[in-house]
Amino acid sequence: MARDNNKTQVVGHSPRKVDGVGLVTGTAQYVDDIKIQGMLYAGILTSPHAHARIKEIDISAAEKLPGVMMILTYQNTPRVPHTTAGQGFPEPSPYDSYMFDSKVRYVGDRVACVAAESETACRHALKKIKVEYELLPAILDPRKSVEENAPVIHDEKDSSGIHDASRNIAAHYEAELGAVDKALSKSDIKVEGEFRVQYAQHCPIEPHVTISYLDDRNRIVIRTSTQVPFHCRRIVAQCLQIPEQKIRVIKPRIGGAFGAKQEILLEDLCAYITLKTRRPVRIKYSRKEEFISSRTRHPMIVKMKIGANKDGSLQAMDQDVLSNTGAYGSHSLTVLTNVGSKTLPLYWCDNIRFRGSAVYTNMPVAGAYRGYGGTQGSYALQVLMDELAEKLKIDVLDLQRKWHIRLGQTHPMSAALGEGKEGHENPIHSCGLDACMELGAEAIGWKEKRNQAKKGRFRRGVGMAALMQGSGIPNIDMGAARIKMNEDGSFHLFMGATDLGTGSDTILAQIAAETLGVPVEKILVYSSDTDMTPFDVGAYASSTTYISGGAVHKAALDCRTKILQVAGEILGGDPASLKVENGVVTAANGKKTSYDKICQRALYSRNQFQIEGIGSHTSPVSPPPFASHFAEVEVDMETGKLRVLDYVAACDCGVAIHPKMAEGQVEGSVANGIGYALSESLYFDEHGRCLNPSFFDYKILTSLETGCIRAILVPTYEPNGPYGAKSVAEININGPIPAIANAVYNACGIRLYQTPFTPESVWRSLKEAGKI
Amino acid sequence: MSLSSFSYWQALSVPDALKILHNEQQQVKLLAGGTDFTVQRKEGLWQDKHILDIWKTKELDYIRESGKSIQLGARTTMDELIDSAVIRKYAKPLHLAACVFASPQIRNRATLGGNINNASPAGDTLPALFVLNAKLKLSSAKKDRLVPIHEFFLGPRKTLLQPNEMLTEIIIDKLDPKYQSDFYKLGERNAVAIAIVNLAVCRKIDPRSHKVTDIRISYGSVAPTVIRAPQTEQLLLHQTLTESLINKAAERAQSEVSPISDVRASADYRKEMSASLLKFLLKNNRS
Repeated sequence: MARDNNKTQVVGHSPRKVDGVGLVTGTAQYVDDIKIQGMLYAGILTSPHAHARIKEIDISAAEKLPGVMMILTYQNTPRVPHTTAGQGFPEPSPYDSYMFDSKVRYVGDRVACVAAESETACRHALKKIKVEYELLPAILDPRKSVEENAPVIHDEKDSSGIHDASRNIAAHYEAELGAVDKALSKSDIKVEGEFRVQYAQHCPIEPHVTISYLDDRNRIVIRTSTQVPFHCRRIVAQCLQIPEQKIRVIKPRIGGAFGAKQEILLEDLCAYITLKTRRPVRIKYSRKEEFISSRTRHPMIVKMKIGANKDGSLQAMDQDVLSNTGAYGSHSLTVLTNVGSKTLPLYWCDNIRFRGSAVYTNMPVAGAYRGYGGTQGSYALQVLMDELAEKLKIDVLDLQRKWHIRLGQTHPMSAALGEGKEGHENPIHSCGLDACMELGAEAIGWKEKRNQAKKGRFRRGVGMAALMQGSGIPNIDMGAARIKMNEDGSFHLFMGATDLGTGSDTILAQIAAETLGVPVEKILVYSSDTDMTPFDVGAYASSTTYISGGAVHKAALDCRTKILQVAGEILGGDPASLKVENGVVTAANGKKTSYDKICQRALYSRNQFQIEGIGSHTSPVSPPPFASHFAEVEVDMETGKLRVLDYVAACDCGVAIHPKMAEGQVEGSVANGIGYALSESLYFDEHGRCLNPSFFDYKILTSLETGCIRAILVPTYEPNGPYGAKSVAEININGPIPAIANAVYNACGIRLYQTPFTPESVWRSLKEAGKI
Repeated sequence: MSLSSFSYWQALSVPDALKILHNEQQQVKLLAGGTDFTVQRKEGLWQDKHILDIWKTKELDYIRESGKSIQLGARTTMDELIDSAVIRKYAKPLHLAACVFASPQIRNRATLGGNINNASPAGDTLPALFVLNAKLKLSSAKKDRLVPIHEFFLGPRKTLLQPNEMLTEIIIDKLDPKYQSDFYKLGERNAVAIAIVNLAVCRKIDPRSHKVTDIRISYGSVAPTVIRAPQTEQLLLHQTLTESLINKAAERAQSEVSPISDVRASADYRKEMSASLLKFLLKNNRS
């Protein structure tokens, strides 16, 4: 299915990033790189208790301190139920959050906010606020949330969209194809397990930070580190109860997000203080606040069963999910359903059931995090596939090859289960999974290593996982772009799409350049400014290249049509017969003209108009990228310490618009995923206080620790995507946990059902299994 | 960072530093590489202290060999320890400990004196110094005194260093080539990890009788301070290292450690690992 890419001049090549030089030389500006005259510094007082009512809050001493300009609490701010989740409107997340509330629901919840002339004054004032709490019993274990007599975390009257507040259930979803129980009971072979994953934080190197100020027309300008500038504008308008037209959101350069910034966490406070004081305000999270008060991955308990017959045919798959959404239900429903919808349609099976609840606890708030449920679901599914292959006494690769979804097929589960609701028909137009498995297996040395003898203290093994994800949310995600031509033959590309360090400004410029027939240097990108650029839902759901790229492609085609009209006037030919190469238009009769001359004519001499194009794009389907991951590990049988020796990630992302950056996305996701598999974890005491909110004891892996990561791009051509592209950003974080767990089993015969696989937890599993 | 007011001195020589310590006493915190200090101050420690920076006291930056001992200036960095042929040859556990210490960037700044004075039960160089019978030279304006390292630590972050004193020199035994010695750090990851358990061992075995003629075992991260394991050592001394004796020693070692549970590992696991790592190092003939 791969098309001949030699025809493309820009797409499929790896030009320098459009913002690269600025980033490495330090001239590119992040949110906190500017300082505005008269800027106030705001900070947040957070709850030391997991669950409590504020009986009294005394700000009098703090207010009197020099330099203190404003103190916000629930008593002097608008109470508007909303969700912090930056999702399409109406959001599928419950409206259970308030700027401030008289109740705190986790350690790290907002209590008050101080804005002062200096950071020091702000810090002093925060210490002077006296709060008296009435402590309430707290729920720290999601399994206890639904118990009878459990304290109700959202007992407020004005929340909405909560599935069952009285039982602490934020969201619930069920979908079934066929008759799962019956099919399971009839199956020759059954494998099942309960898989648990832990709290983890995204750890963007740039924490959440926002600066807001009033412009000369009294509009609030919010310069913020966000994935979702347009949703940010809408939600801030909602919280402040002012029209969107009063707000402009600008996203400058961003130092990483990974889902954590698909949330409105600081912008409402910052903008509100600017509105009230008319002063510029900066607010940012410290690393500690980033860990405790921002967002995390949803910890989950996934119970899964697979029934199969002796011929290996899958008879039933049953997935039962308990998701811990923490104190608020941000992304609770959609992450929950994606556990199933991003994993179950991978295999042919007539009887499939998904059931899941996302429950409130008095713990940090979970939200969007790269993988978005797919990470949790793949763990259960891919370990059970390994177990099933073992029971069938066949190579797991043969099992995978036989039953995975293929080109031209439409999986009924895609229609039954979507993102937070029913899904859509999602026929597969490109699938390189077989090639991924073949190339990955060869690279890791599957055959020799899988069957090598295991003995001694250090035991080695290999394991694999097969993966799918999506490209955007079908019929919801929308991106738009506008292209304006300049008289020197260059183009301005305006788009809502949001580059977070992901490289989308470059990729989208490549798509524009390819379509317009110019080198990428001719494209001047301006993105993510709600005043200046068209709408885009933002950077999430692996949608930017696919959805926003589609919009840029359309805008460029529109612009190109207009260029050729003018060229036709100059050259005297039918626009359809004209050829474009490198900014030069050639007619059938050999006459030529160039882009600068075309634009000069349109702007200055004949039939004057601005040559420009606009495009909007949505997609009725969400083409899955596919991947196959292979890990080789070494287990120290004495200490339980795991080393990942080699990791191969073969990924079908369609046509890679910028292969180097696509490889970077694969490598980054895998490193991120290995960290989650081995060591990244937030730990809590019996009061719900986080014990390790710093890089000191929260272990993200260093480059030396991740071992050798090898990305293999397996080209296919996705007809629905711009120049054949699909997504690549998330899928590869879903592989490390199951691939490593399966490799550990291969090495030493123990199954790991709980992450992270720390030395101690592996050692305990070894001990329980009687291996040591 | 804190913005409370404080004085900052930079000493260019030891007498300068001792003079300031003599005059100011209670209020001064010594600063060398700053790799612990800056982190701790950010977390609120040392806010009421003046700072005496001794990073530029180059006279404390040395590794000297004389007779049966090695003298190390307190300002010697981890990186310098790693590069020293003398340390590699005669004090292998210290070399190995420096190699796994934090990260390359930190090893360029962190000093041996700083690691000792920080008095963390998990300090990576400490078990090595314990088995090398280190003696610490504590200097004040009036006098110097020598303290064996095992007497120096009173508890986590507590030492018997007086406010007018500073650690100037560390003197360790040279291990002659007949010694086998080793160091093992078990951490959650390799770089910038606080040890779950640290273990240093050195032993000398009579080539003819195969009996142990000297053995020193020291653990980190399993007690309020780094410790030696005297009963375990006693059990092994003058014996042949058979498998059953090693197993017995490992069991004994478990009774000598008193670990706690924290975010890095449980007490149980630390105890088990104390035994398991000892078995590994005693069976291992890699030195």
